[in-house]
Amino acid sequence: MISKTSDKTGSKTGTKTSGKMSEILKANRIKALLERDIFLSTRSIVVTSITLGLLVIAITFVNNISINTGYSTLSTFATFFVFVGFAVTARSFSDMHSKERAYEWFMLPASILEKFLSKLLFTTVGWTLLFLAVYSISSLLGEVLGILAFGHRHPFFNPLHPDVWRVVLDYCIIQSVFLFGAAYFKRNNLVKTVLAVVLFFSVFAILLFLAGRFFFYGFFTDFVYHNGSGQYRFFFDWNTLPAGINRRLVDILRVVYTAVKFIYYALLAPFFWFFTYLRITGKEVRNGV
Amino acid sequence: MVEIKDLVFSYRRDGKPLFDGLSLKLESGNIYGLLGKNGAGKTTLLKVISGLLFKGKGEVTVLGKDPAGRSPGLLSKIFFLPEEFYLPPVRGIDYVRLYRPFYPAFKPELFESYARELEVDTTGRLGSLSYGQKKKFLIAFGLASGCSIVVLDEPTNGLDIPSKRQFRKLISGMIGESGEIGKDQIFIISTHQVRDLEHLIDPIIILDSGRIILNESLEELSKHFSMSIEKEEPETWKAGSGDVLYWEKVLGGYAVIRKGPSEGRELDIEVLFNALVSMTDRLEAENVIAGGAK
Repeated sequence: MISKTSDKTGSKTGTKTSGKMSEILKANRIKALLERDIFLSTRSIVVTSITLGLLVIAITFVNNISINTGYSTLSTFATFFVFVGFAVTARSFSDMHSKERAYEWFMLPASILEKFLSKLLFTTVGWTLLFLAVYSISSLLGEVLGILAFGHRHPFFNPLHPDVWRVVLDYCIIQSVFLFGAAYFKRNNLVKTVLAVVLFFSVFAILLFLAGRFFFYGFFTDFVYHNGSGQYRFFFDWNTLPAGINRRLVDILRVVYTAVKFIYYALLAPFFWFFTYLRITGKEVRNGV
Repeated sequence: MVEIKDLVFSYRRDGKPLFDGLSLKLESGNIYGLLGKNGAGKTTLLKVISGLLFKGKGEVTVLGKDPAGRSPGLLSKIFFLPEEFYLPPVRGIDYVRLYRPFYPAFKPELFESYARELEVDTTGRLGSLSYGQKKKFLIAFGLASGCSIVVLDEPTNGLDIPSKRQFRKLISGMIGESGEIGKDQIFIISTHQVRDLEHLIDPIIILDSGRIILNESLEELSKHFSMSIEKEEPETWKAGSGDVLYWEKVLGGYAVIRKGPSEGRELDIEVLFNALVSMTDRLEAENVIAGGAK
Protein backbone atom coordinates (compact mmCIF):
# COMPACT_ATOMS: atom_id res chain seq x y z
CA MET A 1 0.00 0.00 0.00
CA ILE A 2 1.44 3.33 -0.96
CA SER A 3 1.84 5.69 1.94
CA LYS A 4 -0.07 8.91 1.74
CA THR A 5 2.13 11.90 1.21
CA SER A 6 1.92 15.60 1.64
CA ASP A 7 3.36 18.40 -0.44
CA LYS A 8 6.75 19.30 0.94
CA THR A 9 7.73 21.64 -1.85
CA GLY A 10 7.15 24.67 0.29
CA SER A 11 3.79 25.78 -1.02
CA LYS A 12 2.18 25.24 2.36
CA THR A 13 4.58 27.44 4.28
CA GLY A 14 4.96 31.18 4.34
CA THR A 15 2.81 33.69 2.56
CA LYS A 16 1.01 33.10 -0.71
CA THR A 17 3.66 35.10 -2.53
CA SER A 18 6.57 33.14 -1.11
CA GLY A 19 4.67 29.94 -1.88
CA LYS A 20 4.24 31.05 -5.49
CA MET A 21 7.87 32.13 -5.62
CA SER A 22 9.04 28.74 -4.39
CA GLU A 23 7.05 27.20 -7.25
CA ILE A 24 9.11 29.20 -9.73
CA LEU A 25 12.50 29.53 -8.09
CA LYS A 26 14.08 27.49 -5.34
CA ALA A 27 17.83 27.28 -4.69
CA ASN A 28 17.61 23.60 -3.68
CA ARG A 29 16.15 22.61 -7.02
CA ILE A 30 18.76 24.60 -8.99
CA LYS A 31 21.42 22.87 -6.89
CA ALA A 32 19.86 19.47 -7.65
CA LEU A 33 19.72 20.30 -11.38
CA LEU A 34 23.37 21.40 -11.38
CA GLU A 35 24.44 18.29 -9.49
CA ARG A 36 22.60 16.15 -12.03
CA ASP A 37 24.11 18.04 -15.00
CA ILE A 38 27.64 17.93 -13.59
CA PHE A 39 27.41 14.24 -12.68
CA LEU A 40 26.00 13.24 -16.05
CA SER A 41 28.68 15.32 -17.83
CA THR A 42 31.61 14.13 -15.71
CA ARG A 43 33.19 12.16 -18.53
CA SER A 44 32.91 15.07 -21.01
CA ILE A 45 34.26 17.49 -18.41
CA VAL A 46 37.29 15.29 -17.69
CA VAL A 47 38.05 14.60 -21.38
CA THR A 48 37.67 18.30 -22.32
CA SER A 49 39.83 19.41 -19.39
CA ILE A 50 42.64 16.96 -20.17
CA THR A 51 42.59 17.78 -23.90
CA LEU A 52 42.62 21.53 -23.31
CA GLY A 53 45.23 21.21 -20.57
CA LEU A 54 47.60 19.26 -22.83
CA LEU A 55 47.04 21.71 -25.70
CA VAL A 56 47.79 24.71 -23.48
CA ILE A 57 50.93 23.02 -22.08
CA ALA A 58 52.12 22.29 -25.64
CA ILE A 59 51.39 25.80 -26.93
CA THR A 60 53.03 27.49 -23.93
CA PHE A 61 56.07 25.22 -24.14
CA VAL A 62 56.55 25.67 -27.89
CA ASN A 63 56.26 29.44 -27.58
CA ASN A 64 59.12 29.40 -25.07
CA ILE A 65 61.56 28.33 -27.79
CA SER A 66 62.04 32.01 -28.44
CA ILE A 67 61.02 34.75 -26.08
CA ASN A 68 60.33 37.10 -29.01
CA THR A 69 57.46 35.23 -30.70
CA GLY A 70 54.94 37.86 -29.67
CA TYR A 71 53.14 35.14 -27.70
CA SER A 72 50.38 36.41 -25.45
CA THR A 73 49.09 34.12 -22.75
CA LEU A 74 45.95 36.26 -22.49
CA SER A 75 45.20 35.81 -26.20
CA THR A 76 45.62 32.03 -25.91
CA PHE A 77 43.39 32.03 -22.84
CA ALA A 78 40.75 34.16 -24.57
CA THR A 79 40.75 32.06 -27.75
CA PHE A 80 40.24 28.73 -26.00
CA PHE A 81 37.92 30.12 -23.34
CA VAL A 82 35.58 31.83 -25.77
CA PHE A 83 35.44 29.33 -28.63
CA VAL A 84 35.30 26.14 -26.55
CA GLY A 85 32.83 27.91 -24.24
CA PHE A 86 30.55 28.62 -27.21
CA ALA A 87 30.80 24.99 -28.30
CA VAL A 88 29.89 23.82 -24.78
CA THR A 89 27.01 26.30 -24.62
CA ALA A 90 25.65 25.19 -27.99
CA ARG A 91 24.96 21.74 -26.52
CA SER A 92 23.15 23.07 -23.45
CA PHE A 93 19.67 21.99 -24.43
CA SER A 94 20.47 18.74 -26.20
CA ASP A 95 18.20 16.93 -23.69
CA MET A 96 15.29 19.11 -24.71
CA HIS A 97 15.74 18.35 -28.42
CA SER A 98 16.38 14.63 -28.01
CA LYS A 99 13.55 12.28 -28.93
CA GLU A 100 14.54 9.87 -26.16
CA ARG A 101 15.46 12.32 -23.41
CA ALA A 102 13.08 15.26 -23.86
CA TYR A 103 10.24 13.77 -21.79
CA GLU A 104 12.64 13.09 -18.92
CA TRP A 105 14.00 16.65 -18.92
CA PHE A 106 10.57 18.27 -19.05
CA MET A 107 9.08 15.92 -16.45
CA LEU A 108 11.90 16.65 -14.00
CA PRO A 109 10.17 18.52 -11.16
CA ALA A 110 11.79 21.93 -11.55
CA SER A 111 10.44 25.09 -13.12
CA ILE A 112 11.46 26.17 -16.61
CA LEU A 113 13.20 29.18 -15.04
CA GLU A 114 15.24 26.86 -12.80
CA LYS A 115 16.13 24.62 -15.73
CA PHE A 116 17.19 27.68 -17.74
CA LEU A 117 19.22 29.14 -14.86
CA SER A 118 20.97 25.86 -14.20
CA LYS A 119 22.11 25.72 -17.83
CA LEU A 120 23.15 29.37 -17.75
CA LEU A 121 25.16 28.89 -14.55
CA PHE A 122 26.71 25.70 -15.88
CA THR A 123 27.93 27.37 -19.08
CA THR A 124 29.00 30.70 -17.57
CA VAL A 125 30.12 30.38 -13.93
CA GLY A 126 30.86 26.66 -14.19
CA TRP A 127 32.79 26.93 -17.45
CA THR A 128 34.72 30.02 -16.27
CA LEU A 129 35.84 28.38 -13.02
CA LEU A 130 36.75 25.13 -14.76
CA PHE A 131 38.68 26.76 -17.57
CA LEU A 132 40.48 29.23 -15.30
CA ALA A 133 41.66 26.31 -13.17
CA VAL A 134 42.69 24.20 -16.18
CA TYR A 135 44.41 27.11 -17.94
CA SER A 136 46.21 28.41 -14.83
CA ILE A 137 47.66 24.99 -14.02
CA SER A 138 48.53 23.95 -17.56
CA SER A 139 50.06 27.28 -18.60
CA LEU A 140 52.14 27.21 -15.40
CA LEU A 141 53.31 23.70 -16.29
CA GLY A 142 54.12 24.86 -19.84
CA GLU A 143 56.18 27.77 -18.52
CA VAL A 144 58.01 25.54 -16.01
CA LEU A 145 58.84 23.10 -18.82
CA GLY A 146 59.97 26.11 -20.90
CA ILE A 147 62.37 27.22 -18.15
CA LEU A 148 63.74 23.69 -17.81
CA ALA A 149 64.19 23.26 -21.57
CA PHE A 150 65.13 26.75 -22.79
CA GLY A 151 66.04 28.65 -19.66
CA HIS A 152 63.47 31.38 -20.12
CA ARG A 153 59.73 31.93 -19.87
CA HIS A 154 56.90 34.36 -20.56
CA PRO A 155 55.15 36.15 -17.71
CA PHE A 156 52.95 33.71 -15.77
CA PHE A 157 49.23 33.75 -16.43
CA ASN A 158 47.43 35.66 -13.71
CA PRO A 159 43.77 34.58 -13.41
CA LEU A 160 43.02 37.65 -11.31
CA HIS A 161 44.25 40.15 -13.92
CA PRO A 162 41.48 42.63 -14.91
CA ASP A 163 41.97 41.80 -18.63
CA VAL A 164 41.09 38.18 -17.90
CA TRP A 165 37.82 39.23 -16.31
CA ARG A 166 37.10 41.59 -19.21
CA VAL A 167 37.30 38.55 -21.49
CA VAL A 168 35.02 36.65 -19.10
CA LEU A 169 32.51 39.51 -19.16
CA ASP A 170 32.52 39.66 -22.98
CA TYR A 171 32.14 35.88 -23.12
CA CYS A 172 29.14 35.96 -20.78
CA ILE A 173 27.46 38.58 -22.97
CA ILE A 174 28.09 36.98 -26.36
CA GLN A 175 27.47 33.50 -24.94
CA SER A 176 23.81 34.45 -24.49
CA VAL A 177 23.45 34.36 -28.29
CA PHE A 178 24.77 30.79 -28.36
CA LEU A 179 22.52 29.81 -25.46
CA PHE A 180 19.57 31.05 -27.51
CA GLY A 181 20.88 29.10 -30.52
CA ALA A 182 21.10 26.00 -28.31
CA ALA A 183 17.43 26.36 -27.40
CA TYR A 184 16.24 27.42 -30.84
CA PHE A 185 17.99 24.98 -33.17
CA LYS A 186 17.43 21.25 -32.86
CA ARG A 187 20.66 20.07 -34.46
CA ASN A 188 24.08 21.50 -35.36
CA ASN A 189 23.41 24.34 -32.93
CA LEU A 190 26.93 25.79 -33.01
CA VAL A 191 27.23 25.97 -36.81
CA LYS A 192 23.70 27.29 -37.23
CA THR A 193 24.19 29.96 -34.57
CA VAL A 194 27.46 31.11 -36.13
CA LEU A 195 25.79 31.22 -39.56
CA ALA A 196 22.84 33.19 -38.15
CA VAL A 197 25.19 35.71 -36.48
CA VAL A 198 27.30 36.08 -39.64
CA LEU A 199 24.15 36.50 -41.73
CA PHE A 200 22.73 39.07 -39.33
CA PHE A 201 25.92 41.15 -39.27
CA SER A 202 26.35 40.88 -43.04
CA VAL A 203 22.84 42.21 -43.64
CA PHE A 204 23.36 44.85 -40.93
CA ALA A 205 26.69 45.94 -42.44
CA ILE A 206 25.23 46.14 -45.95
CA LEU A 207 22.28 48.20 -44.73
CA LEU A 208 24.60 50.47 -42.74
CA PHE A 209 26.84 50.92 -45.76
CA LEU A 210 23.89 51.70 -48.01
CA ALA A 211 22.52 54.18 -45.48
CA GLY A 212 25.93 55.80 -45.22
CA ARG A 213 26.20 56.06 -48.98
CA PHE A 214 22.69 57.46 -49.19
CA PHE A 215 23.01 60.12 -46.48
CA PHE A 216 26.64 61.05 -47.05
CA TYR A 217 26.85 60.42 -50.77
CA GLY A 218 28.53 63.67 -51.59
CA PHE A 219 31.24 63.27 -49.00
CA PHE A 220 32.65 59.96 -50.23
CA THR A 221 35.31 61.36 -52.48
CA ASP A 222 36.82 58.20 -53.83
CA PHE A 223 37.11 54.43 -53.59
CA VAL A 224 40.66 53.59 -54.48
CA TYR A 225 43.52 51.25 -53.84
CA HIS A 226 45.60 52.63 -51.01
CA ASN A 227 49.29 52.04 -51.56
CA GLY A 228 50.20 52.49 -47.93
CA SER A 229 47.85 49.87 -46.45
CA GLY A 230 47.50 47.68 -49.52
CA GLN A 231 43.71 47.76 -49.19
CA TYR A 232 40.80 49.33 -51.01
CA ARG A 233 39.52 52.26 -49.00
CA PHE A 234 36.83 54.85 -49.05
CA PHE A 235 38.07 58.35 -48.76
CA PHE A 236 35.82 60.42 -46.63
CA ASP A 237 36.85 64.04 -46.89
CA TRP A 238 36.00 65.79 -43.64
CA ASN A 239 37.08 69.07 -45.19
CA THR A 240 34.25 68.97 -47.69
CA LEU A 241 31.66 68.90 -44.89
CA PRO A 242 29.83 72.19 -44.39
CA ALA A 243 30.99 74.22 -41.42
CA GLY A 244 29.62 72.93 -38.10
CA ILE A 245 28.52 69.57 -39.51
CA ASN A 246 31.91 68.14 -38.69
CA ARG A 247 31.49 68.71 -34.96
CA ARG A 248 27.83 67.69 -34.98
CA LEU A 249 28.71 64.43 -36.65
CA VAL A 250 31.28 63.70 -33.98
CA ASP A 251 28.62 64.35 -31.32
CA ILE A 252 26.18 62.04 -33.09
CA LEU A 253 28.80 59.33 -33.35
CA ARG A 254 29.54 59.73 -29.64
CA VAL A 255 25.85 59.22 -28.81
CA VAL A 256 25.66 56.22 -31.14
CA TYR A 257 28.76 54.75 -29.51
CA THR A 258 27.27 55.20 -26.00
CA ALA A 259 23.99 53.65 -27.15
CA VAL A 260 25.74 50.68 -28.73
CA LYS A 261 27.82 50.21 -25.57
CA PHE A 262 24.66 50.34 -23.44
CA ILE A 263 22.90 47.85 -25.68
CA TYR A 264 25.90 45.52 -25.59
CA TYR A 265 26.57 45.60 -21.85
CA ALA A 266 23.05 46.02 -20.46
CA LEU A 267 20.54 44.69 -22.98
CA LEU A 268 22.06 42.08 -25.27
CA ALA A 269 22.40 39.21 -22.77
CA PRO A 270 19.03 39.77 -21.00
CA PHE A 271 17.37 39.99 -24.43
CA PHE A 272 18.67 36.58 -25.51
CA TRP A 273 18.12 35.05 -22.05
CA PHE A 274 14.50 36.13 -22.19
CA PHE A 275 13.92 34.63 -25.63
CA THR A 276 15.77 31.45 -24.64
CA TYR A 277 13.43 31.13 -21.67
CA LEU A 278 10.39 31.72 -23.90
CA ARG A 279 11.60 29.12 -26.36
CA ILE A 280 11.91 26.47 -23.63
CA THR A 281 8.55 27.40 -22.13
CA GLY A 282 6.78 26.90 -25.46
CA LYS A 283 8.52 23.66 -26.38
CA GLU A 284 6.41 20.50 -26.54
CA VAL A 285 7.50 16.87 -26.71
CA ARG A 286 6.12 15.88 -30.09
CA ASN A 287 8.72 13.31 -31.10
CA GLY A 288 8.72 14.50 -34.66
CA VAL A 289 4.93 14.35 -35.08
CA MET B 1 -7.91 14.84 -9.75
CA VAL B 2 -7.70 14.82 -13.54
CA GLU B 3 -10.37 16.69 -15.42
CA ILE B 4 -10.48 17.34 -19.13
CA LYS B 5 -13.28 19.40 -20.62
CA ASP B 6 -13.86 19.84 -24.34
CA LEU B 7 -10.24 19.25 -25.24
CA VAL B 8 -9.26 20.12 -28.77
CA PHE B 9 -5.81 19.01 -29.80
CA SER B 10 -4.13 18.87 -33.16
CA TYR B 11 -0.54 18.10 -34.12
CA ARG B 12 -0.80 20.53 -37.02
CA ARG B 13 -2.39 23.94 -36.98
CA ASP B 14 -4.48 23.41 -40.07
CA GLY B 15 -4.85 19.68 -39.71
CA LYS B 16 -7.81 17.65 -38.51
CA PRO B 17 -7.80 17.62 -34.71
CA LEU B 18 -6.94 14.33 -33.04
CA PHE B 19 -9.18 15.29 -30.12
CA ASP B 20 -12.18 17.44 -30.86
CA GLY B 21 -14.16 18.13 -27.71
CA LEU B 22 -12.83 15.25 -25.62
CA SER B 23 -13.93 15.25 -21.97
CA LEU B 24 -12.74 12.92 -19.26
CA LYS B 25 -12.80 12.83 -15.48
CA LEU B 26 -10.48 10.59 -13.50
CA GLU B 27 -11.06 10.08 -9.79
CA SER B 28 -8.42 9.20 -7.23
CA GLY B 29 -8.04 5.74 -5.80
CA ASN B 30 -8.30 3.98 -9.16
CA ILE B 31 -6.08 2.14 -11.61
CA TYR B 32 -7.44 3.23 -14.97
CA GLY B 33 -6.77 1.07 -17.98
CA LEU B 34 -6.54 3.20 -21.11
CA LEU B 35 -7.25 1.02 -24.13
CA GLY B 36 -7.34 1.85 -27.78
CA LYS B 37 -6.13 0.82 -31.19
CA ASN B 38 -2.84 2.09 -32.63
CA GLY B 39 -3.14 5.78 -33.43
CA ALA B 40 -6.24 6.23 -31.28
CA GLY B 41 -4.46 8.95 -29.31
CA LYS B 42 -3.57 7.13 -26.07
CA THR B 43 0.00 8.40 -25.82
CA THR B 44 -1.04 11.88 -26.91
CA LEU B 45 -3.69 11.96 -24.17
CA LEU B 46 -1.13 10.84 -21.59
CA LYS B 47 1.26 13.54 -22.79
CA VAL B 48 -1.43 16.22 -22.51
CA ILE B 49 -2.17 15.07 -18.95
CA SER B 50 1.56 15.15 -18.14
CA GLY B 51 2.09 18.63 -19.65
CA LEU B 52 4.39 17.39 -22.41
CA LEU B 53 1.89 18.53 -25.05
CA PHE B 54 -0.30 21.61 -24.82
CA LYS B 55 -4.03 21.69 -25.39
CA GLY B 56 -5.39 23.63 -28.33
CA LYS B 57 -8.72 24.53 -26.76
CA GLY B 58 -10.64 23.35 -23.72
CA GLU B 59 -9.61 22.84 -20.15
CA VAL B 60 -7.16 20.39 -18.65
CA THR B 61 -6.63 20.33 -14.90
CA VAL B 62 -4.49 17.89 -13.00
CA LEU B 63 -4.63 18.17 -9.21
CA GLY B 64 -6.28 21.54 -9.76
CA LYS B 65 -3.51 22.91 -11.98
CA ASP B 66 -2.93 23.28 -15.69
CA PRO B 67 -0.21 20.74 -16.52
CA ALA B 68 1.06 22.96 -19.35
CA GLY B 69 2.34 25.31 -16.62
CA ARG B 70 4.88 22.61 -15.71
CA SER B 71 5.10 23.79 -12.14
CA PRO B 72 7.57 21.87 -9.97
CA GLY B 73 4.88 21.23 -7.35
CA LEU B 74 2.72 19.45 -9.92
CA LEU B 75 5.59 17.71 -11.70
CA SER B 76 6.77 16.25 -8.40
CA LYS B 77 3.37 14.54 -8.14
CA ILE B 78 3.31 13.09 -11.65
CA PHE B 79 5.42 10.12 -12.64
CA PHE B 80 5.35 9.40 -16.37
CA LEU B 81 6.93 6.30 -17.86
CA PRO B 82 6.66 6.38 -21.66
CA GLU B 83 6.99 3.35 -23.88
CA GLU B 84 10.35 4.60 -25.13
CA PHE B 85 12.18 5.88 -22.09
CA TYR B 86 15.62 7.12 -21.17
CA LEU B 87 17.94 6.13 -18.37
CA PRO B 88 21.27 7.92 -18.04
CA PRO B 89 24.36 5.71 -18.06
CA VAL B 90 24.97 5.87 -14.32
CA ARG B 91 24.80 3.38 -11.47
CA GLY B 92 21.36 2.75 -9.98
CA ILE B 93 22.33 4.20 -6.62
CA ASP B 94 23.63 7.35 -8.33
CA TYR B 95 20.37 7.69 -10.26
CA VAL B 96 18.43 7.59 -7.00
CA ARG B 97 20.83 10.08 -5.36
CA LEU B 98 20.52 12.51 -8.30
CA TYR B 99 16.77 12.27 -8.87
CA ARG B 100 15.25 11.80 -5.42
CA PRO B 101 15.74 15.48 -4.39
CA PHE B 102 13.11 16.35 -7.00
CA TYR B 103 10.52 14.09 -5.38
CA PRO B 104 9.96 15.21 -1.78
CA ALA B 105 7.75 12.20 -1.05
CA PHE B 106 10.28 9.67 -2.34
CA LYS B 107 10.77 6.72 0.03
CA PRO B 108 14.15 4.97 -0.39
CA GLU B 109 13.06 1.96 1.65
CA LEU B 110 10.04 1.49 -0.64
CA PHE B 111 12.29 1.78 -3.69
CA GLU B 112 14.59 -0.93 -2.32
CA SER B 113 11.62 -3.13 -1.56
CA TYR B 114 10.06 -2.68 -5.03
CA ALA B 115 13.41 -3.20 -6.75
CA ARG B 116 13.90 -6.41 -4.77
CA GLU B 117 10.42 -7.57 -5.69
CA LEU B 118 11.06 -6.85 -9.37
CA GLU B 119 14.53 -8.41 -9.11
CA VAL B 120 16.41 -5.34 -10.36
CA ASP B 121 20.02 -4.71 -9.46
CA THR B 122 20.23 -1.12 -8.18
CA THR B 123 23.99 -1.11 -7.62
CA GLY B 124 25.22 -1.81 -11.14
CA ARG B 125 25.42 0.52 -14.13
CA LEU B 126 22.02 1.14 -15.67
CA GLY B 127 23.49 1.21 -19.16
CA SER B 128 24.38 -2.47 -18.92
CA LEU B 129 20.82 -3.52 -18.00
CA SER B 130 18.42 -5.03 -20.54
CA TYR B 131 15.40 -3.03 -21.75
CA GLY B 132 13.11 -4.93 -19.42
CA GLN B 133 15.43 -4.48 -16.44
CA LYS B 134 15.70 -0.75 -17.13
CA LYS B 135 11.92 -0.50 -17.31
CA LYS B 136 11.54 -2.35 -14.02
CA PHE B 137 14.08 0.00 -12.42
CA LEU B 138 12.03 3.02 -13.50
CA ILE B 139 8.79 1.39 -12.38
CA ALA B 140 10.30 0.79 -8.92
CA PHE B 141 11.51 4.41 -8.82
CA GLY B 142 8.17 5.77 -9.97
CA LEU B 143 6.17 3.75 -7.46
CA ALA B 144 8.49 4.82 -4.64
CA SER B 145 8.35 8.49 -5.68
CA GLY B 146 5.06 8.96 -3.84
CA CYS B 147 3.55 10.64 -6.90
CA SER B 148 -0.22 11.10 -6.84
CA ILE B 149 -0.48 10.42 -10.54
CA VAL B 150 1.42 7.52 -12.03
CA VAL B 151 1.19 7.37 -15.81
CA LEU B 152 2.49 4.20 -17.42
CA ASP B 153 2.48 3.87 -21.20
CA GLU B 154 2.62 0.19 -22.18
CA PRO B 155 4.38 -0.85 -18.95
CA THR B 156 4.43 -4.57 -19.75
CA ASN B 157 5.90 -4.18 -23.25
CA GLY B 158 9.37 -5.67 -23.27
CA LEU B 159 8.93 -7.45 -19.95
CA ASP B 160 9.41 -11.20 -19.88
CA ILE B 161 6.68 -13.47 -18.50
CA PRO B 162 8.02 -13.59 -14.91
CA SER B 163 8.50 -9.81 -14.94
CA LYS B 164 4.91 -9.27 -16.04
CA ARG B 165 3.79 -11.41 -13.14
CA GLN B 166 6.06 -9.45 -10.78
CA PHE B 167 4.66 -6.18 -12.09
CA ARG B 168 1.07 -7.33 -11.57
CA LYS B 169 1.93 -8.58 -8.11
CA LEU B 170 3.58 -5.30 -7.20
CA ILE B 171 0.68 -3.16 -8.31
CA SER B 172 -1.83 -5.55 -6.72
CA GLY B 173 0.18 -5.29 -3.49
CA MET B 174 -0.39 -1.57 -3.53
CA ILE B 175 -4.11 -2.06 -3.51
CA GLY B 176 -5.25 -1.64 0.07
CA GLU B 177 -7.64 -3.72 2.11
CA SER B 178 -10.50 -1.54 0.95
CA GLY B 179 -9.77 -2.54 -2.62
CA GLU B 180 -8.32 0.81 -3.55
CA ILE B 181 -4.83 2.13 -4.11
CA GLY B 182 -3.74 5.09 -2.01
CA LYS B 183 -6.80 7.33 -1.81
CA ASP B 184 -4.82 10.28 -3.15
CA GLN B 185 -3.41 8.36 -6.09
CA ILE B 186 -4.38 7.59 -9.66
CA PHE B 187 -2.70 5.08 -11.90
CA ILE B 188 -3.28 5.52 -15.61
CA ILE B 189 -2.03 2.53 -17.54
CA SER B 190 -2.17 2.58 -21.30
CA THR B 191 -1.84 -0.80 -22.90
CA HIS B 192 -2.41 -3.04 -25.88
CA GLN B 193 -1.64 -6.06 -23.76
CA VAL B 194 -5.00 -6.27 -21.98
CA ARG B 195 -4.39 -9.84 -20.80
CA ASP B 196 -1.20 -8.73 -19.00
CA LEU B 197 -3.19 -6.35 -16.86
CA GLU B 198 -6.49 -8.14 -16.43
CA HIS B 199 -7.72 -8.08 -12.82
CA LEU B 200 -5.59 -5.00 -12.29
CA ILE B 201 -7.08 -2.23 -14.38
CA ASP B 202 -10.46 -0.92 -13.34
CA PRO B 203 -12.16 1.31 -14.55
CA ILE B 204 -11.65 0.87 -18.25
CA ILE B 205 -11.30 3.81 -20.63
CA ILE B 206 -11.58 3.09 -24.33
CA LEU B 207 -10.26 5.69 -26.72
CA ASP B 208 -11.19 5.31 -30.36
CA SER B 209 -10.30 7.77 -33.13
CA GLY B 210 -9.71 10.53 -30.60
CA ARG B 211 -13.00 9.91 -28.75
CA ILE B 212 -13.62 8.39 -25.34
CA ILE B 213 -16.21 5.74 -26.10
CA LEU B 214 -16.16 4.20 -22.65
CA ASN B 215 -15.13 5.18 -19.13
CA GLU B 216 -16.71 2.71 -16.74
CA SER B 217 -15.81 0.45 -13.86
CA LEU B 218 -15.93 -3.29 -14.49
CA GLU B 219 -18.72 -3.51 -11.91
CA GLU B 220 -20.80 -1.05 -13.88
CA LEU B 221 -19.98 -2.78 -17.16
CA SER B 222 -21.08 -6.14 -15.77
CA LYS B 223 -24.52 -4.61 -15.14
CA HIS B 224 -24.85 -3.90 -18.86
CA PHE B 225 -22.91 -6.65 -20.56
CA SER B 226 -22.50 -10.36 -20.04
CA MET B 227 -20.10 -12.80 -21.60
CA SER B 228 -20.32 -16.47 -22.30
CA ILE B 229 -18.44 -19.13 -24.21
CA GLU B 230 -20.82 -21.00 -26.48
CA LYS B 231 -20.42 -23.99 -28.73
CA GLU B 232 -22.84 -22.82 -31.41
CA GLU B 233 -22.30 -19.81 -33.61
CA PRO B 234 -24.67 -17.12 -32.31
CA GLU B 235 -27.11 -15.30 -34.50
CA THR B 236 -25.56 -12.14 -35.93
CA TRP B 237 -26.60 -9.01 -34.11
CA LYS B 238 -29.05 -6.72 -35.78
CA ALA B 239 -29.88 -3.25 -34.57
CA GLY B 240 -32.94 -3.27 -32.36
CA SER B 241 -33.28 -7.02 -32.11
CA GLY B 242 -31.79 -9.80 -29.98
CA ASP B 243 -29.39 -9.54 -27.07
CA VAL B 244 -26.18 -10.72 -28.76
CA LEU B 245 -23.98 -7.70 -29.31
CA TYR B 246 -20.82 -9.33 -30.52
CA TRP B 247 -19.12 -12.65 -30.87
CA GLU B 248 -15.76 -13.91 -31.93
CA LYS B 249 -14.33 -17.35 -32.47
CA VAL B 250 -12.13 -18.56 -29.65
CA LEU B 251 -10.58 -21.89 -28.72
CA GLY B 252 -13.43 -24.25 -27.88
CA GLY B 253 -16.29 -22.21 -29.27
CA TYR B 254 -17.47 -18.61 -29.47
CA ALA B 255 -16.95 -15.77 -26.99
CA VAL B 256 -20.28 -13.95 -26.95
CA ILE B 257 -21.05 -10.53 -25.49
CA ARG B 258 -24.71 -9.96 -24.70
CA LYS B 259 -26.73 -7.04 -23.53
CA GLY B 260 -27.88 -7.42 -19.96
CA PRO B 261 -26.33 -8.01 -16.54
CA SER B 262 -23.50 -10.45 -16.12
CA GLU B 263 -24.26 -13.54 -14.11
CA GLY B 264 -21.34 -15.59 -13.02
CA ARG B 265 -18.72 -15.36 -15.75
CA GLU B 266 -16.38 -12.37 -15.60
CA LEU B 267 -16.14 -10.07 -18.59
CA ASP B 268 -13.13 -10.64 -20.79
CA ILE B 269 -11.77 -7.12 -21.32
CA GLU B 270 -10.16 -7.98 -24.63
CA VAL B 271 -13.37 -9.39 -26.09
CA LEU B 272 -15.34 -6.47 -24.67
CA PHE B 273 -12.82 -4.05 -26.18
CA ASN B 274 -13.14 -5.75 -29.58
CA ALA B 275 -16.92 -5.57 -29.29
CA LEU B 276 -17.04 -1.90 -28.40
CA VAL B 277 -14.46 -0.77 -30.91
CA SER B 278 -15.82 -2.75 -33.84
CA MET B 279 -19.42 -1.68 -33.26
CA THR B 280 -19.08 1.79 -31.82
CA ASP B 281 -21.56 3.45 -34.17
CA ARG B 282 -24.19 0.74 -33.84
CA LEU B 283 -23.85 0.57 -30.05
CA GLU B 284 -24.16 4.34 -29.86
CA ALA B 285 -27.27 4.21 -32.00
CA GLU B 286 -28.75 1.64 -29.64
CA ASN B 287 -27.69 3.77 -26.64
CA VAL B 288 -25.69 0.83 -25.34
CA ILE B 289 -22.67 3.09 -24.91
CA ALA B 290 -22.47 6.84 -24.63
CA GLY B 291 -21.71 8.57 -27.90
CA GLY B 292 -18.69 10.80 -28.35
CA ALA B 293 -16.74 12.29 -25.50
CA LYS B 294 -17.76 11.23 -22.07
